Amino acid sequence: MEINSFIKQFEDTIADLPPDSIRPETDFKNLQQWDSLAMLSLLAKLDSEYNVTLTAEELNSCNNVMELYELVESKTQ
Amino acid sequence: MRALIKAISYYLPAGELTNEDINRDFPEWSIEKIADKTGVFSRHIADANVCSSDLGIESAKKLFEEHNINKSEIDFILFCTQSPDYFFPASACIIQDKLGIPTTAGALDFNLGCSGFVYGLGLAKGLIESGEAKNVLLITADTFSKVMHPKDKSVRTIIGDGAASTLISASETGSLGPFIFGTDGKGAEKLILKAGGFRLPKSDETGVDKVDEFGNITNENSMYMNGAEVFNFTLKTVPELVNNLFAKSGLSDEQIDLYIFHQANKYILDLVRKKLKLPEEKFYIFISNCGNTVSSTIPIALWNAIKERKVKAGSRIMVVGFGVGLSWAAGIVNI
Repeated sequence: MEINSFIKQFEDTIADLPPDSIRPETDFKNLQQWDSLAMLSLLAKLDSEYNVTLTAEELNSCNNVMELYELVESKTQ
Repeated sequence: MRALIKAISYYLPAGELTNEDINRDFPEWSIEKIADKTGVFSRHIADANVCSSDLGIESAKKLFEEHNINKSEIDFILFCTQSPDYFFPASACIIQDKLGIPTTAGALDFNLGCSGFVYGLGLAKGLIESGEAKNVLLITADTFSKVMHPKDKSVRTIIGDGAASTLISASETGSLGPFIFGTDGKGAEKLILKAGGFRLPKSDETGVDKVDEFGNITNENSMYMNGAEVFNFTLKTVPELVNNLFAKSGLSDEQIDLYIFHQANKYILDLVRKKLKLPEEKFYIFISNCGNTVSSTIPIALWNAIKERKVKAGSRIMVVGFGVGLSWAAGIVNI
């Protein structure tokens, strides 16, 4: 896994997100499209793609997409 | 003597809450998005003065009528609800009187939500196969609309009111089970109506609104659902439960005619089905015009599957319930 493909998956998962709108430093929780359904979509994606289960607390502890990527990566190892 | 599901009917109150109505309250969620993510187009809502027991009674009257059931033969009432009329007596006692079921019948309430129907089947089987009852009337009913905060879209988009009546009778043939049950009370606060009982009586404080990070507003007098945690619980527990039931029953996918899971919402059902690699054509969904009716989703779906001839006499169905408690149960049903 590397950050660019992770970002691509993130963009595909969250509804109504314009392509190429996400950067590693994006604070995804402040995105207009980030709502409870977006969160569930992301949790489902991480479960099916990486077999990683995150709690809402863990997800909320991430300040940006890079930190989320690192958290997911640490759990896949 | 074996236990067999003999008849099912259900009742939905006339009032409706459509996606157009929800969109008016929450313009940030389009009508299409609500339908696409939840699978629900409309939910039924009971009038303010109509209680779960009233819905349950209507469903039982339909059962007697549609299936030509003689109510004097009912010797046990199991009423599954999370919204009883009173703390006591049990609503099942009131239902016995209003339905004119003989005073020789046993009657009790049990408090479970989305796992309740499968638990009720297990209890009915126990009563019948031990010889203590011959005709068990299992009524599932809830009116969560009364305890949903009007500004909490996380629950208002998916949950509707409704009731179902299922008659389980002693039979020479047929079979009900095996079942698997499970409980994790550590998750009690993930799905809870906190205030109004003895632990936390209603007060000015419990009525204070709180906003979550997504702008959903609720308070302790209203139901609360931690969406992410319930979601994670479902994705973890339900596949294990289904696989354990395959192992316990000695059955494989080819021997199951239809799967009817608790109709939580279409989104989570699709995910669970994909995770279990169950064939889509055998995975029954019935949610679009009633939403998640808590303990009644499985009997409502089962009755529609029978009416649509997806299943017929002799078919083998896996039923799976999961939710508030946290509580879960799965079983094999022959009809």
